[in-house]
Amino acid sequence: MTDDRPSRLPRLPDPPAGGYFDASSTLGEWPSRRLNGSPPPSPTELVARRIVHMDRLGIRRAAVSSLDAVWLKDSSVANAELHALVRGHTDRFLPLYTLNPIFPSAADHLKRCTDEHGLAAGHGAIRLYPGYHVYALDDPRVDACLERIASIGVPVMLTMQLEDARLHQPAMRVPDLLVPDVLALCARWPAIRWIVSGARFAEAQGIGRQLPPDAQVWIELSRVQGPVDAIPTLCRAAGAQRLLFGTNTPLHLPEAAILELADARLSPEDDAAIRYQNAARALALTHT
Amino acid sequence: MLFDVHTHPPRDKSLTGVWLDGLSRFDARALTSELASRTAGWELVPSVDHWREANEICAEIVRAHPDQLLGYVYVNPAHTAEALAEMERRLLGEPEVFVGLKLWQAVRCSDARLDPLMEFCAAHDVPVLQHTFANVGPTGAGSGNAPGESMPEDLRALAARHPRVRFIAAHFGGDWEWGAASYAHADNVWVDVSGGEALGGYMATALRYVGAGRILFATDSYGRSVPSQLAKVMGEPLPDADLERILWRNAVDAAGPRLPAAWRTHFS
Repeated sequence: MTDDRPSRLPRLPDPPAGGYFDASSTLGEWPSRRLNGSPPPSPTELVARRIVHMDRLGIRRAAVSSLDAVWLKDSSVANAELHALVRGHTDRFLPLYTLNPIFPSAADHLKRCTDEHGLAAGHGAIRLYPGYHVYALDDPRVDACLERIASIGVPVMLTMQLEDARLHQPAMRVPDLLVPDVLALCARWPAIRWIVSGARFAEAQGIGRQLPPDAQVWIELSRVQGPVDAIPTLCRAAGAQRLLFGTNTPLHLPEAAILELADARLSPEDDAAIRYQNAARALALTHT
Repeated sequence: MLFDVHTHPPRDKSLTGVWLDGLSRFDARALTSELASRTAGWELVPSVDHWREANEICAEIVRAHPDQLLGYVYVNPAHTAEALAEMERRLLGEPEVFVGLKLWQAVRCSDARLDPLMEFCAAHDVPVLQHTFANVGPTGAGSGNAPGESMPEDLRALAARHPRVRFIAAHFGGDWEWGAASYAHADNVWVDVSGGEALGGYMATALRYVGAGRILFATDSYGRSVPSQLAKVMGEPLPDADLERILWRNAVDAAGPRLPAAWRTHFS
């Protein structure tokens, strides 16, 4: 992004070589706040605007899930809508299909993802929202679902939280996942590539410190917004190879993730790893 | 260049350099308050000894970094006589160190016990940084608050009682949509953007309800990072003039005549 503001005004960094792979973003509307303007744009217009915004910021490609899927009881409806929206833009979007493992037709929903939407290793992932869909991570139905997911070899994004729980709509208060529960789930399914999304600094640090070296677990950084030098500290706690640039757009402002990473003063190798290289491994991609 | 009106030194003082470097990378000068004593962390209802010691720690840090930091005096409004004495000692006796008053969660700020303190602030042009946060709880916004934690409506009521005092609403009310609605017509309240996450729609809401003239850049660092809070401002396309107002010019107005001349020159 070029910026000719007067020198005393701060500016966004120019997109670095290689740009960014956004490991966590969403398309859709949110029930308690207009995130895409008022009145909301059509889904097609929303995609077009998102691509323009990504271009402006240097985000080459984004893993994207349906925001509507968070609240729809039948998330397969949202998955079909997401597939229709992004299938013409696979160079810019990687779909994350939402599953609710305790929904009676969860197995059918996963089958639709593979059979009708083309979900396979390298072509998308599954996203879970345990807090929003209200299930415990040790529920046997979760393990049954994960067994099916493991058999097709796709990564799983585990959402710890989507936005600051202190500000939730009063009728829709959703607690954060707990670090020990997340660690236990990842340890129970070591063959799955896990992406932990929406962790705050202390949670990310707690997870990063306790993971065994060979764990296939990555931590997405969109909600790491402090303290000062949070990302260098996480690199020491978890290793730069485990961290993924993510924005949680549109719930969060992508500028925060960009400025935060630019302020981290990492080596060029670690910076590129977090911006896009680690995502290729986490999401089993042949290219980012 | 940034004028950050809301910071706190790290509780682990070995990280003070990390905090100050984090501000320096953005050419930021900051107003700061210490809420911890030498032996205890941030206490919701601090004793006189606790907040006196906190102010001494704050003074030490500010004196060591006069070109980067200015202090807020921190008191518990329940201790009227002691608080007024501390304000006189610090704000009138050390004007090169302390520029404003910081109030946190000891007493809800609509409480009448704040009135003598506000009369002092009006008489001596002291800006007041008041913590406000509408934590959602089982019965709606604010029901998750601590007993002495102020809602934005508390500050609106206080500001109406003391129209000569310049107030800074910390964290934009926490729930910034609630805060925006609360402060829309409170002309002696500036809103600070510190704390919380950089959420979509933040600045557009602030501009719609409060306007660019009453928004102040702030971080709540060390606990929050400078870039994440700056993103709240940078995420909205703004004319340069409005950006300058939000990032430093409004803070000069809010700090008022107590701002040292060197700082005024720096931000001119």
